Amino acid sequence: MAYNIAMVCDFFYPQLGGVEFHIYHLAQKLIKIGHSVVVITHAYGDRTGVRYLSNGLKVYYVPYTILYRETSFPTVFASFPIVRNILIREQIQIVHAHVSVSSLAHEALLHATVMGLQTVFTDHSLYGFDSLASILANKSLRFTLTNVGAVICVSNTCKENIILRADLDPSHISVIPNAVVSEDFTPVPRNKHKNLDQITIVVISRLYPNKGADLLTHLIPKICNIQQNVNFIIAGDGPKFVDFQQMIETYRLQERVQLLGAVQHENVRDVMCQGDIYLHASLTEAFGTVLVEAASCGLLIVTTTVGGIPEVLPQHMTVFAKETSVSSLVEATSKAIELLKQGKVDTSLFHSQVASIYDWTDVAARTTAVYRKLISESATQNHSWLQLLKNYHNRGGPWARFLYILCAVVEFMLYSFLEWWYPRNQIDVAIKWRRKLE
Amino acid sequence: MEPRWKRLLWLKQEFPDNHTDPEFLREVSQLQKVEQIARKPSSSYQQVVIDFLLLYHRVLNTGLMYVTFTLLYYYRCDPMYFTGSLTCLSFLAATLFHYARMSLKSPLIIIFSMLVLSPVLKSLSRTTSSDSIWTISGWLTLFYVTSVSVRSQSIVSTNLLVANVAVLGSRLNSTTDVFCFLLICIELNVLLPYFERSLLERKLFIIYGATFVANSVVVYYFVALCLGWIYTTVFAFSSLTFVFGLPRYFLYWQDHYCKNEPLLSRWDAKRPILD
Amino acid sequence: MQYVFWPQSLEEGKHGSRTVVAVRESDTGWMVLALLEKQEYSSLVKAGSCEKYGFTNIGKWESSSGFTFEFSKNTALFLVKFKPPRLNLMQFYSLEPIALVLPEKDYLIGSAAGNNHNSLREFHKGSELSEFGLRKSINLINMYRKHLHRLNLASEKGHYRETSQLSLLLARGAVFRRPVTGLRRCAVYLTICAHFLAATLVTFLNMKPLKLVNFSSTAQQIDLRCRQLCYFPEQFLRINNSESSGSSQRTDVKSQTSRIRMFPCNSYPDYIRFYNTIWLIANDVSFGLSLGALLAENQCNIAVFLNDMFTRCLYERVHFVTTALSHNPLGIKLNGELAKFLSDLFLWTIDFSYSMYIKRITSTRCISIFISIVSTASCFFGVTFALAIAVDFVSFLTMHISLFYFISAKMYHWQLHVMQTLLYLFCGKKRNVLRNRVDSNLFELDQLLMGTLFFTILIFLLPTFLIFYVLFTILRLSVLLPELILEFVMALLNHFPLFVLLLRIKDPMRIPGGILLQPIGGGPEFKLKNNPLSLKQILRPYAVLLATMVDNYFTLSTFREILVGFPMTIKRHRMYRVLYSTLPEVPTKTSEVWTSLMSFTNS
Repeated sequence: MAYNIAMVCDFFYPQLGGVEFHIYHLAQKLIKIGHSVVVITHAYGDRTGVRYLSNGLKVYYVPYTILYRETSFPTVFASFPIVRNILIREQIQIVHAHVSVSSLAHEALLHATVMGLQTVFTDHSLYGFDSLASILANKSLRFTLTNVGAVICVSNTCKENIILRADLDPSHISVIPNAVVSEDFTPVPRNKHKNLDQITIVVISRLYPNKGADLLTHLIPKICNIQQNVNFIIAGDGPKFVDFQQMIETYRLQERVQLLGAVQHENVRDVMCQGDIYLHASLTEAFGTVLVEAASCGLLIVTTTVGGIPEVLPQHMTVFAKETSVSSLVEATSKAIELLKQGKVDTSLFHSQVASIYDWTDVAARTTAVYRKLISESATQNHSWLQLLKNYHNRGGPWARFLYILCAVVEFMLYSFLEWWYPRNQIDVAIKWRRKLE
Repeated sequence: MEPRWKRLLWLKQEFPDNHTDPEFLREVSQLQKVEQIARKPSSSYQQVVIDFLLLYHRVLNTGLMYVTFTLLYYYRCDPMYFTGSLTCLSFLAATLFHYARMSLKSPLIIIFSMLVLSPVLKSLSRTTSSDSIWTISGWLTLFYVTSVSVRSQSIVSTNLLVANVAVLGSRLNSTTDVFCFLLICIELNVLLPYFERSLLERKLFIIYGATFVANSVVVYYFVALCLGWIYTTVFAFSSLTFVFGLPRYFLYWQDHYCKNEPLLSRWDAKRPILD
Repeated sequence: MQYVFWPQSLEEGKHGSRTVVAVRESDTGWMVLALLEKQEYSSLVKAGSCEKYGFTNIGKWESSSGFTFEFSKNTALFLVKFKPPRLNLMQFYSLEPIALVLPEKDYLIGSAAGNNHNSLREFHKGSELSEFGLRKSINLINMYRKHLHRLNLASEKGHYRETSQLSLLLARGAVFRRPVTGLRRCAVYLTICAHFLAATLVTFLNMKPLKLVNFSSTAQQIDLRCRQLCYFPEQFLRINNSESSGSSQRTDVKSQTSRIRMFPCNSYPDYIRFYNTIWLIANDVSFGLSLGALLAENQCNIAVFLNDMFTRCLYERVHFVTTALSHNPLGIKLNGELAKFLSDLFLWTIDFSYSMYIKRITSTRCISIFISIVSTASCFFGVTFALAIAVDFVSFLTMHISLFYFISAKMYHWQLHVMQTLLYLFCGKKRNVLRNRVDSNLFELDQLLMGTLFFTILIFLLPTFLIFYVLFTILRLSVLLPELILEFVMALLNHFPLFVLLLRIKDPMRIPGGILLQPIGGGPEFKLKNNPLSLKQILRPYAVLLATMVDNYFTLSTFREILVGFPMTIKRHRMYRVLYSTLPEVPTKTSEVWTSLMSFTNS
């Protein structure tokens, strides 16, 4: 059974990042299985309109105002006409939205619900409860996820998080981790008794405070001081870049610490392969794809235990730092260096192990299972508007409840108006990409 | 026996993706409870009072600046002797406590630069009306108090203080006054807190208490002198409320509204410990 | 696939069946020359000229059925009809737009044509051959008349050899040569003298430490004229040499191959530029005569008016405003001491400059003398000189305003810079000059105190500096604006492509801007048309100049620069660089001109 699926997210190519790659690879694998996938995102610069990526992955770049860091301006209703048009044109059955800070994703979920389509939502990151931004995000998430069909989380921690934030039934939430294209992260072949006098530690991270940049700037001089034969390669850019430069200059580590700046995604593997240990000092992480990539390249992982990180990799590939402190990380790193020197870990097997655990084909199959369950259940469920309204009424506090219902009613009215003003049968149906027969 | 579910992603388990383990559920429900139930007070009343007291001390300390200014501006006191003795005193204290940072060079530079700049400062705001100056000074003081961190010196607050002193100083009548005012204020508001902090660090609480009392006495006496007893009483009562009453409310707020519960904050970015 | 180029007028008045005679070169299509009777063609063949010149019978033409191609079977045929260009009238076809500026200065105007051309190149990289073929074919078409002439000669007098005609030509030349030689010599000596003078003047005006050209618009104008003068002989030689080389080519015909290779249209752009310049100069002088007369007539009135205006605007008003600034204008809280100091400084400068030179120069007598000078210059050298002198005069008289402006801009900028640095200090940061970034830094107590004291003082002084800066910026702008307008008028008069525009009206074939192939009917028939240069292409340097001016004076970035206190100047050099695009960067050396001229006269 082939479905017509629309992936909706503010973040997509040409921007490169974890979410973008997730959507792309998932869509490619779904197409391979036989589904038809379109991606809806906002316009990036002059990249507007419809574009095709490989294997006929159709991308709609909808022109929207950008609010902050490539997030489109939240309008609640304004996107309805065009999203409805696209959904009808492409005969979409399932709307799959990604990322809870993407307003486009929220709006598409709302519209799809009203149009009687199946909805799936994938969350990629963790959010707290006390900052103003996260409270707003949580409230809107609570609203848009009221009638969602299924939710996918990338880790169990993420699942807990979303249960609390959006007050969802745990049985609706599936945990499907990210994956890596393991062919893109192959280790360099090295002889068994490699000279481990010189150990290189790789850090690839955007240099933001929440990625542990401060920890790193304190940690690196200490390790360089303790371990005389350890070098560092740091890739990535961000507001803390200057701090790293200053650290290098203050401690005269020019010989031992390489600061690469931003690295293109296709070069990440080459950078990783130069090292023996991957150091991850992040302070928050939902899944940590980069860890899997590094392990796939045959690096021993030293990491903090925040968020979903403890679930991601088997014990023998990682050395955990108990807390997010410099001393604990130094200890963990020293332990990892010792392990490598004494030959207690065999990193050469990491690649095949990781490849067997994390594979996009597997992810696509599991996602399809979610879709199938959703479609089969939808026949028996009550999707009348009254029921939807009731659901909205049963959510939220006394005040939020009214706001939710108001929004929902306006949305329904808008839908009726659009059906009258631009009837379904006047919208041309797009021709599907003809698949190569294999 | 059926295998137990483990909270791991890398392990292929014979459970559907939306499997929810009872263990997992228990943890979640615990978390949900945390969200609703009011918790035990997280910090002690005594500790909060001490923090408030420190802040109050800093406000009093700022008051000293206004005392000096009023003495110079309205009462036209001759500041020479006072400045001289205070400077000697601070030098004495510096040598007694062996501050490594206080070499002779830096105070000399400060003093001489202020000597040079005081004529400029004096003429700086001649055309500006006094009301605007009071307003600017009031705002600067407000910013200063909010930017003060109780236990350490921050760059921004020091800068705000010096800016405030310069603004006030530009109102004074003679160059000597300006110079003395600058010097006194820097000694009282920058060096004295510095000194007090070092007292706290060395756990010399009695001397610290003495400076605190002296500070309060000066400010209260002056308020009584200038504004009368009624104002002084109001002032005293409001400060008492601030130091002993407000902490109660603070604790209440902290318990009921500020959610810094360890369980709930597990999704916030962890605080880096830079030891 | 075969291309046959067919002249449009060929079929007129022809009947019956004819032989189609055509020529081609390697890689080109066939160019049809004539429709000959059978016997005509056979006589040609007999005389051997067909073999010699490459005349070939490529098919038949019937008045009823038209052209049938017989040269090679089984190939697709494209018939391209064209109007034969008259080379002697300087008409020709060209793939690229004719260059109105010197090719080496093309980058200055960033010409759209050049860019297109590049993209065309890119596009044709794969099929370079075909483009090459087209280029050659176009050259062949341009030579149509010459080939036709040769065919006519051959067919008229099959036996007649070219040598005899040539000797006749040479003999005729010899008759004319003698009396002309003396005159020519005189002209050459005169030219060399003029060239030497002009070249020396150019070198003097562009001498490095001073570079008068950048200061004074009169110097700029003299420089321009001198450069043009220096370039004249070269242009003249180029135009005439190509003609003579063309003729010499013809004399060599019998010894060399019988194909005509030399492309005569190379010198046409030079021709256009040369006459454009001459025309503009004539124009300039004729305008100048009328302006000069007008000025001379109204000398007294103008002098009185100017005297009044200058005294008012340059002295009284400025004096008044500067004095007003020291007395808290509009209730703005300025720092009294500083405002007094600044206004005193400026007042002193105003008084000084007024009593030193402004007063004397702007006296009615002086102005009337000046006007008579301007009118004389205008009569002799053209209106541009009058304008240039006027511009210089104004900028000289407003020197004190410029001086104030630069002083206040400098102070303002310096102050902002210091404040920015101190602001960094306020936040505990400092600029790292070596690495060009902002580092965080722990400051000592004394550093902090000093920095904050200075910062506070500067904050209080800022409004005073700002108001002086704003005032003098406005004054400076109001002086700059008329100067800019005058300069623009000068640019217009100096470089307007008048000649090209007239050519565009009179004979668009002479300024080709590319070709156009238009299909006729449905069949494989095309019409080759000339795409004359568009107005936009012709006026391109002006568009660039205007854009530069707008860019320099009316953009957001300029506004930001003014806000930050960067001084603005007339970047005369940059503005004019665009318009100098028809002149070489460095004038040719006199000795070179001498040798080439001598070789020309002796040839």
